Amino acid sequence: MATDDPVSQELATRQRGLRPTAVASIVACAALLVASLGAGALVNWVQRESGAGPVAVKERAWFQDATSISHGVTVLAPIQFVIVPTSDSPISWVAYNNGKTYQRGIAQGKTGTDVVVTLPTWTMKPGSWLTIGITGLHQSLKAWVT
Amino acid sequence: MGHVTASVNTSARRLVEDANASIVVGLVAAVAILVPVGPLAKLASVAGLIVLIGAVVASRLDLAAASLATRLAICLGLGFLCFLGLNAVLGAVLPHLSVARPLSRWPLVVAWCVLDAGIVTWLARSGRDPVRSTLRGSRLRDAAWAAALSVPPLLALVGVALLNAGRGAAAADVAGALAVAMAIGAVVLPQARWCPPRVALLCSALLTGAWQGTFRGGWLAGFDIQHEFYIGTLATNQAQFPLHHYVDPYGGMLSLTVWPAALHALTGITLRTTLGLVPSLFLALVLLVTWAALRDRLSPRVTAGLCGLFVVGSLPLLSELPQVTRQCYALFFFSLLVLAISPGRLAPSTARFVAVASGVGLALTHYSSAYLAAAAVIIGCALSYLSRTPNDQKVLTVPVSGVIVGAALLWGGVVAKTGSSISQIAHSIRAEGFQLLPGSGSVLARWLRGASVSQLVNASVIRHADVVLRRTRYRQMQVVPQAGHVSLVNAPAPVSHGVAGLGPVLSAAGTTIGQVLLVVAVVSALWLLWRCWRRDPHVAGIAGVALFFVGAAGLSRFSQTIGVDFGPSRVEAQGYLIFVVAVGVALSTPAVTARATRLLASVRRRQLALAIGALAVGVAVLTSTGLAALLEVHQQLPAAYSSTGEQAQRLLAPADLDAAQWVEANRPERYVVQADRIGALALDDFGFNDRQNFFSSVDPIIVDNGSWIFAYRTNVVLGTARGGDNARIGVFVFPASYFASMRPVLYTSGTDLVYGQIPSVLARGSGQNRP
Repeated sequence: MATDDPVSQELATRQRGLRPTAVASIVACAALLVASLGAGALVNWVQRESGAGPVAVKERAWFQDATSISHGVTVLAPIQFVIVPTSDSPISWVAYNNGKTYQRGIAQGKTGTDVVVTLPTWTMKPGSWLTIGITGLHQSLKAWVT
Repeated sequence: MGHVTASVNTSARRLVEDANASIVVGLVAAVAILVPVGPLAKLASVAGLIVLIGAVVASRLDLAAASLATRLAICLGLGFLCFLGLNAVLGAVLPHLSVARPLSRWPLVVAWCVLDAGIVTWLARSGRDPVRSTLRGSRLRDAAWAAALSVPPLLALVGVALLNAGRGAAAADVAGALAVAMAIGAVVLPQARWCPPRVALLCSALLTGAWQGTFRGGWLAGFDIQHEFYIGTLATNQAQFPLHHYVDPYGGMLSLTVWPAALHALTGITLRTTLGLVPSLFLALVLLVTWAALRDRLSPRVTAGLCGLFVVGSLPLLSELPQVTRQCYALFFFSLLVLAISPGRLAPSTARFVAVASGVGLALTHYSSAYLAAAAVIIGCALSYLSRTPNDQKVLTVPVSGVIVGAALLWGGVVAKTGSSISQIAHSIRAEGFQLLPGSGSVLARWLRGASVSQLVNASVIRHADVVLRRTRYRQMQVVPQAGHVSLVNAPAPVSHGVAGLGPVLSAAGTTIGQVLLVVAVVSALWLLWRCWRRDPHVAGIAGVALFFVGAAGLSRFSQTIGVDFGPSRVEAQGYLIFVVAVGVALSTPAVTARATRLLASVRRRQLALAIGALAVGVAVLTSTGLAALLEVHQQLPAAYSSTGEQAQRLLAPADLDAAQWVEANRPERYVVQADRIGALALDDFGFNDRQNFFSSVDPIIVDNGSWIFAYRTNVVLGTARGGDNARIGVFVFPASYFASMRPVLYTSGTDLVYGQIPSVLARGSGQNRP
């Protein structure tokens, strides 16, 4: 199946000096790296200017040991919940039980890191809901006290 | 000064002419692999390797009479196949030689640099330059145009980013309009030196349209792509092939395993980028191959018109296929197969080699595309023998067809283990029949509706189906009686206002063009069949393959059972790639050419034909890019141009993925998780598609008391949810207050919630509800 086209043969087998090839390779590599770095910088600049850059850290919260808490919170042991702050500023939280304020506090940590809060449960009313409101989050964490 | 510039230009030209292009490509690829800084270096590393290997392999073929587009297509196809195959071999063999993760950075860098160095040394010693042979006939001007035409696709990406950031749709609108303009331009531009290459215009239009969708929402848009992301994550983490502890057809496709893992290892490209950008590049290559197949027989304008109508104007190809990434790679090989079997300028021996390579590539990248192609090849082969095509000119010979069919069966059966998927379709047909032309209305209305895999239906239809599920499949679910009192309330999304007058005309024109193309395709297939029977046995192969796809496309659209498992639009996308060439071959037959010449004898008639062709391409691309929906009245707002509407509600944001990952980390596999149809997609990114205890429904009557419920952005912020199956989707108000009253909230992010199980005391207090 080898080609029998004379032009291809000539092009394919023409012996070329290695010097032009070496020079062309060096030029091509340098041009590629410069252009690539430039393109990368351009992409970053466009993202920054358009406000469409990488997604910022989003505030969120959850219960530690969620599988157990899904069954219900007991008054025997404290529970823990985690807040991921979007800034280094403190975040306040309020826990309600049986319709009343149960405890409140402030969590502080570095942006995007887990801040673990421990909440004692021994004075909670069994057979009622525990809700934890956190500044910045529209929806509260919520668990049933058994 | 002018003298110096001229001298530099002369030196540069001599350098370009005298250098061995293959060695330059090899060295640039090696440097780019070792220093993958910036997007261009990442692109150049793998692309350079593929071009180099492909050119070396293609240099063994007889491509003397082949056009530049054909040579380039074959070079890229062979190079890609070798790249996939060699990485798969490395991934499978090296673990036995104590390389635990062969598809990670350094094993692959060493392997490919050694291979690259070997090829470069051989080229330097032999003086061969296969890359230059492949690119023979290309001009620097074409490269400059290609660079300039890369701007609209990049603008599409900027438009998506702005839309995701809530900064308006202006850039997206401009990008869409540019795509339409480029497609029309490819048809109407004169044949002049200053004009851009028509194929480059079409490729740019296709890429622009395709890239407008994939990153919408901030994550990856689409259904299948989410599970593909999970498989790609497994492959990248395990860095070997086959995957450990994973038996699923997805795990056997190199397009989802070896390819993303190798790309990540060699260039550092993230999996999300690979899935979002690279498949569309292969769709652009599909267009290049189709162009090559048609251009051998037709004028540039007619070729551009057909490519504009059947490829760039194909709604599934532009809007759906980029979200089914494995099929994009398979379609590239399928288009090469079509190129090989279409009567053109390829030598028969070369065409057979390309057909075999394409068949193997299809088998490695996507099993259902490979099965369809294998079945079509059997028909084509049989027809070639029945029509007595001379043996020396037959492409689909028994050995060639045998290898294509064998590769599909062997890889699909042994490596990808697709038996369960095939038996599932067989089971569905046994259980439900074919369900031909389901729904109500006239046969024509049902036929037109059949093109859509997911029709929007009323929430009451979903509730009715869920009641049936509750009594049958979910009999064992424990559900509190209160659930029965929660009704599903329809939640229609905003639709387009449209433009009075223009909208209905555009809608009718789009539908008419779609149906006319189908009719033309069927007529062309029958015409080729008649011709191969009577006087031209050379077209037997393509006639047989086209005939098979007429049947397959019709069946997947007629039958809801097949359509649910085998999306009609995806079969249509594959079918169009053979139909467009069948139409091209039919148009180039002497009888048709003579009649067309007579018909278009006057300049005025030629101008009229050009205007009609350009208008048809414009309408088709307006439809495929989604712009037409903005102009039509009461259509779903396309997500590519709008932040509201039903389609925008289906998008996933990065926060949804964070929440889904939290569910995956905190909910053991033995417990049930539920989410709506779209929320389920975020969980699919973490392997929930393979979980037994996972149901995609948030209709309270089929939500188990013990389930965790994952509610994503659309559920929580917009307050709507989706139910149904692959064929029907209903949008209803998310029953947030019901869930909030009964269940704990274990995770919250403002846009995502995870509800826990109903406390046992509450469930007991309300009594269990069994059907």
